[in-house]
Amino acid sequence: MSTFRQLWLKLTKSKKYREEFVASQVKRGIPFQIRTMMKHEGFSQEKLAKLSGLTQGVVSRAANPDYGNLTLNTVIRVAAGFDVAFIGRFVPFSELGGWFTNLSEESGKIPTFEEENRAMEQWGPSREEGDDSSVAAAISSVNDRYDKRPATRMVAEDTNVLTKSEDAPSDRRAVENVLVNYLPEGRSTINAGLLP
Amino acid sequence: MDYETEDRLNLIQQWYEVQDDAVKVAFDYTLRILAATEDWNDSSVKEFKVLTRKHVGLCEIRFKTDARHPNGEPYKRRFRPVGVWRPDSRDFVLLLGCEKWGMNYIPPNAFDLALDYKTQYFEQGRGAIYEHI
Repeated sequence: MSTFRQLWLKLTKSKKYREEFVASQVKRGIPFQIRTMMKHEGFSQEKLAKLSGLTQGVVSRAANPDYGNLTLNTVIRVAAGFDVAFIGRFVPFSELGGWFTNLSEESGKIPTFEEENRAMEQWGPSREEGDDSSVAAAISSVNDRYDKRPATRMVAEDTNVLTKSEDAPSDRRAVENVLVNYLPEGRSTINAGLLP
Repeated sequence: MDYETEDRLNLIQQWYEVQDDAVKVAFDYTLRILAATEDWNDSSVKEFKVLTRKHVGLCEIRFKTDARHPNGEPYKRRFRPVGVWRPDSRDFVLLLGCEKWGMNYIPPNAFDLALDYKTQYFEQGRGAIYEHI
């Protein structure tokens, strides 16, 4: 099952399938992301456990898609261990479907706060003035290292169910969120410029 | 990819259709995770195993689902769909579905049957391969 259309057809067939799909996103999707983040950072379970304030056993289970009892507290500690953010929020199925069909190890490349902050520091004094060109340069700098995919793109060109969806990689979207919130005056300009 | 026999039997699809939604989703999600995984040989990848000994040449997809006994006690159901891994072309041809129950398998001859399909049909170019849906 590789396309958004195929997934969407399954979602339409049964509410139970949709419920189970949401459960799998949490129970399997998050452990997969933890696993790929560990791979990208070169972290062992022991190292992540130490950074997260967890035991190695808890980290092992958190990275296991079959475990099934991952708690929010563990997820929050793991986020702290990687020094990245975690967003748990309710979304429409189309957004979840877009995320699922674009799942890749690349999505595990999340810049840490320190890496984001280094990009921010490149703005210099102009950030206080809401200089969009500096903001764009900061985003570009982070994207060059993490992901060059467009922020918004067609999820599945062969489907008429959904023609367009926000499927930006979470790392890029997170950076954009920081930048947008950093410049309250420039919110609409930034959105218009970066999210076609 | 799904293997379909000459007489148009798609055993993996037949197996999938009779599973409950929890199993279908777990299977779909496991396949998606594997599709997104670059190195299936990495020791951290628990969803895939190369079989040895009697069933060398076959590989299994591994996943579990949560279930409950009639008395309410939770347990894990374990599944082992079988197929042929072709790392050069980065694909996995699913031959048939299988559940592991204790030390037994459902169907009990799943791996032997899969090996028969592989050697007598699939490797002889008989049957067809379709994208798994």
